[in-house]
Amino acid sequence: MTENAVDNQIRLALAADDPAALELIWDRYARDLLVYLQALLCSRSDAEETLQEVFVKLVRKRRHLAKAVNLRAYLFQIARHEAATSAKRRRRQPADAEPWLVAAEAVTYDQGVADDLARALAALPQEQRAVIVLKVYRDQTFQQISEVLGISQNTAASRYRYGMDKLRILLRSWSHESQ
Amino acid sequence: MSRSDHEQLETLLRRCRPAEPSAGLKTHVLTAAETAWREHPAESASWRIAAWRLAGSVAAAVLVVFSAGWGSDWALSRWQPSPGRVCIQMKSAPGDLNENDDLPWRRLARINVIISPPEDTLDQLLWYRQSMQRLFEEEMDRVPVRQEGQRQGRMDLMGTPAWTLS
Repeated sequence: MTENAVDNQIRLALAADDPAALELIWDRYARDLLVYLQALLCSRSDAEETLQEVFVKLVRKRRHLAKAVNLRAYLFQIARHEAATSAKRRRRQPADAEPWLVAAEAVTYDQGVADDLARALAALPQEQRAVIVLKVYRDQTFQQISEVLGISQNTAASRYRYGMDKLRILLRSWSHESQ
Repeated sequence: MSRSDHEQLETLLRRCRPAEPSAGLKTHVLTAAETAWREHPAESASWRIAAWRLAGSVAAAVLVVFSAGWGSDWALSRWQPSPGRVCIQMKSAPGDLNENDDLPWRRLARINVIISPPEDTLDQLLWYRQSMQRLFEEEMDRVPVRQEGQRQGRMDLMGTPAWTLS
């Protein structure tokens, strides 16, 4: 089933006020949303908690969601807003130490490398980090990224380029320090 | 930084991955969302909420206007016109107190006349009139005699040459 067909199915379920729409949305968008939220918040548990708030919010706005031209962009907008609320709340509470970036199973890297990468990504501005994570970990094109983030393709590409440059400089400086 | 540098860094990044949503998370999130679905029926669309708020505001405004009208009627019904006279207007004669004369003590006299009780009105008014007349005459006696120049409508200014007054 194509992406548009799934989106139409979701719209029909929302228009019919059928809760089955929730599972369809989950299957289609939960991974993208969770990765995006982890990129914004740099915390796995905060991202999971915020994902739940995103789903509760979309239930309340399901009438609007059914009429949205771009479902993905609408959901990412809700996620962005909820992440900002969660970030404000987190300033009052200590952040958890649970890693949001883990070593891939097929690779022999240890978690230390993943922690260094997570630390380097966390040092980037949120906008650059979000573009890098969506491009690298969700294989999205700059056009798709620009649609969901509400920015131009050039802006998405420049954020990616500047972010990668900073990331490389950070990782290089840390490797020199360790030597 | 070249494209190959970016590709190297991408390869490094791909050796890690963000956490995936677990089955437990799916159950947890969907349960919460379905609960919210039941608690927030789709009928409560935003325009309906706005319409209900508007209707409530109009009803409250109508209630306030009617309450104010009823309260006003109730308060005024307690104040009935008195059957008797509360004051007498004296016909003024030449030499009497003149209404146009607006000295403070005369205004006080008029006020006293107005608020007098109606029982002994005539005697009291006559007494007031005599008192005021006497007061008026005493006051007029105490007025200092003006300078000759001032009587003629001229000011006796300091430093004014004597020939200018002649």
